[in-house]
Amino acid sequence: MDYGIALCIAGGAVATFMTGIGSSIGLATAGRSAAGVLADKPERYGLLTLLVVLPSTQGIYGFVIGLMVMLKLNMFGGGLQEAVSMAVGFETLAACLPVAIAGMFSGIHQGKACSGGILMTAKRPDMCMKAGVVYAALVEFYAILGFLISFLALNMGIVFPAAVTG
Amino acid sequence: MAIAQMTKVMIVSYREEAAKLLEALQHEGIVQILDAERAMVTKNWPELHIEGQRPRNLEELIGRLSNGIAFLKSHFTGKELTSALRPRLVIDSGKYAAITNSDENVKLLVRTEALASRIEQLGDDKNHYLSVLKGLDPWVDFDEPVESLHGFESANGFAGIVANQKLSELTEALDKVGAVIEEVSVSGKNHACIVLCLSTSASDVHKILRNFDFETTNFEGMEGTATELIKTNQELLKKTEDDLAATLNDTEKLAERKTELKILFDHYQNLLSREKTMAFAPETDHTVIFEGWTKIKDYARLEKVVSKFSGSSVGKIDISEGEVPPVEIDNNSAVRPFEVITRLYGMPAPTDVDPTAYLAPFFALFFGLCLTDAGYGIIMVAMMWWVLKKIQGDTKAPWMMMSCSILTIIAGALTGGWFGDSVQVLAINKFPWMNNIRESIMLFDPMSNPMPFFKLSLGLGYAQILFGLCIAFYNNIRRKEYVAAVCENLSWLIFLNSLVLYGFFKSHESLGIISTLAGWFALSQVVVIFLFTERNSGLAGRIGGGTFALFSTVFYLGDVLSYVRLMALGMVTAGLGIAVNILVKLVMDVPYVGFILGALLFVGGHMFNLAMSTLSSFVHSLRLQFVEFFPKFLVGGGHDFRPIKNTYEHISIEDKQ
Repeated sequence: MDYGIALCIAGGAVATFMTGIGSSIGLATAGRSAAGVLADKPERYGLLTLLVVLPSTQGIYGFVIGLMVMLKLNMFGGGLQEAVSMAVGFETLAACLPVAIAGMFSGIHQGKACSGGILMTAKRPDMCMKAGVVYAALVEFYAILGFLISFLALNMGIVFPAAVTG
Repeated sequence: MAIAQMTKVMIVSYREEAAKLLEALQHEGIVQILDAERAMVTKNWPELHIEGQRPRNLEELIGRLSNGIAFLKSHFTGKELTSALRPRLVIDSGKYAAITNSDENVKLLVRTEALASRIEQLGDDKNHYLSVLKGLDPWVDFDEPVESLHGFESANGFAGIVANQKLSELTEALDKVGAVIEEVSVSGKNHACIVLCLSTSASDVHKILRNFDFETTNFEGMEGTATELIKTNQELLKKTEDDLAATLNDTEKLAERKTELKILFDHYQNLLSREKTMAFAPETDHTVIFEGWTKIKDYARLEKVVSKFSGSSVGKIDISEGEVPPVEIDNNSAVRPFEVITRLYGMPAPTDVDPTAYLAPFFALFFGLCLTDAGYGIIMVAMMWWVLKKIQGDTKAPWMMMSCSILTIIAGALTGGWFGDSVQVLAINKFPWMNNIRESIMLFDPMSNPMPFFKLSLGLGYAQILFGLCIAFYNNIRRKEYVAAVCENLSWLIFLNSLVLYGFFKSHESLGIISTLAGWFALSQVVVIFLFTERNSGLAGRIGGGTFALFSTVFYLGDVLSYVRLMALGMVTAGLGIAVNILVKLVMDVPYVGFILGALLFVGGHMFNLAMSTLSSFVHSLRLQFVEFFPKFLVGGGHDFRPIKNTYEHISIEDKQ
């Protein structure tokens, strides 16, 4: 049994589902607030939609890291020439953790920040971009850092066996 | 490509012709008029301020018209001449004038309201008769006149319904207080019964009946036997239904004239706008004063309009201290579609630059990179071409999407994305030439080698942020804010570029001198930023502000890294496309129907991916402009220029002359 590949896939899965959880919770939090505001102020739809979708980025980052693990394993092209060692498996799993953990917490908390921004936009639409969006976007910075580390570690820090050709 | 220059104007008009002048101004749509509350003239001469009355009669009429349109629309059975893309009916100006000047129009509204009221009344009557008939149904076998249950000298009678399973217990309970119960009929799970008791025990009987959920039937006001009452009510129901059908028929015919109400609605909305402006404008005993704003380039037109009125005059006036002009942006036809983005953000401040022209190429490019699929781009171009052919009115948004779609095709072709990997996976066996063409125009494949995409995303981000700083530098120079331009913009431009050069050449031993020079340049700008960012504050403010400004280098790093979403979204589109193609390939192996199922899945799957990815691409490209790009040079918070002008919700007037 090839435990190396299993660990790699576990890494990709963790990156995808943890960031997905973070984004889902964040989107739900922001979406609930926006729905409440829109009941009274439907003209704010454009501004609020921007705030609602902000926490979706983390899930995208996690998905990309998951996809990259699959590409590294050449899962769409017939696999690798040699078995993946346990060391590479653990390295891959570890590489996936920054985006997974930072993405999950960032998504949840960005949703809360967006929710606050949405409530503020209901009363002060002129402050939506300056404060609501910018403050919420700052929370995302750490998910980006997590993604960056995961991305660079996968692409530059781990040596995978060569892909099967032909 | 700039913010339109505004001038403050004052128009003074004799009261007798002020309404006509206002109508002419509304027709031109070039001047925003301030009410007495905001006009400077009333601040200088408070006696000109008047407590205007809202034109409530007109507001009420518009409300009635709105209800009338909704009513007729719900009863219209013909073919609608409007659609989502063409929401307004095109009306000849002659017809518009004829309808708005006709005395018939109010009669049409009154008739509509009468029909609405009649239908409501008949509906209520119908429900009443149905309810009475339902109540009488269990009493068909009760041969005595229903009024005979009342009017006993020393006894009380109750008619009602009780559940079958409670009947025997109820009978026992009533027996104990000397009351009797007689069953009239059984229908389903219920019994219709009559209860008789002495008046002295009526309250006890009433309690017992309530305990057994005895549902009393009310015959009050009815006379005759149940059979006679049923017959009478059936006749009344029939007559009501006939009346209702005839009224609905009349309404359907009248609904064909709903366009007339729509014309009236728009006409009176515009009249309301004028009436409100007039009611709240500063005035003297004989004149009305319209103070407001117009674009400098429209001033000659404004003079021409006012000159047609002998008792009115217009002149430019100085902008008062602290007064902020409204903002309007004017762009050429190539850039104008992207005003949608600027307006979504909110107007720039009057001292800002108009960001539309600067964001346009970046937005379209980012959108293309986020989608990164030439096949999707082709579909979107076709869709936008169709929308542009069909749409009525403002075409800015579809033209913007058209530009974005064209860049999607280019970005997709350069990264080898054609409906995901369909060319490599689905068409490789039968049409190998397609893959040859794909590879010949492809620069890199992000799915096998993502690093070029990664570098491109960060490079574009860095370029846009520097561009934002350049715009801020240019704007400060334009406003003669030279110190701010050097200390707040140029210093950052040199600092950031020096840092990049320092990092880039540090590892190149032969070019170490460049690295050293860049390091010194960066340090020199650190001093400028530290000391002169908060140059108007005291020493503590300078140190605090300078420290925070230097710390904000981290934010620049965050801003650049944020552009990595371009790569991420591009890969998401490709990844979902690949997933669809894998499913299609699996389904294609199903015998007999595999090809059909595969085709359906291919179309459905890629349309889904296109819809989801387009939404993400739009929102994230938007976000990069609003969050990362605009704050580098834009203050924002400007107020929209809102000239008084004719607006139409339901119709579009076409002048055939």
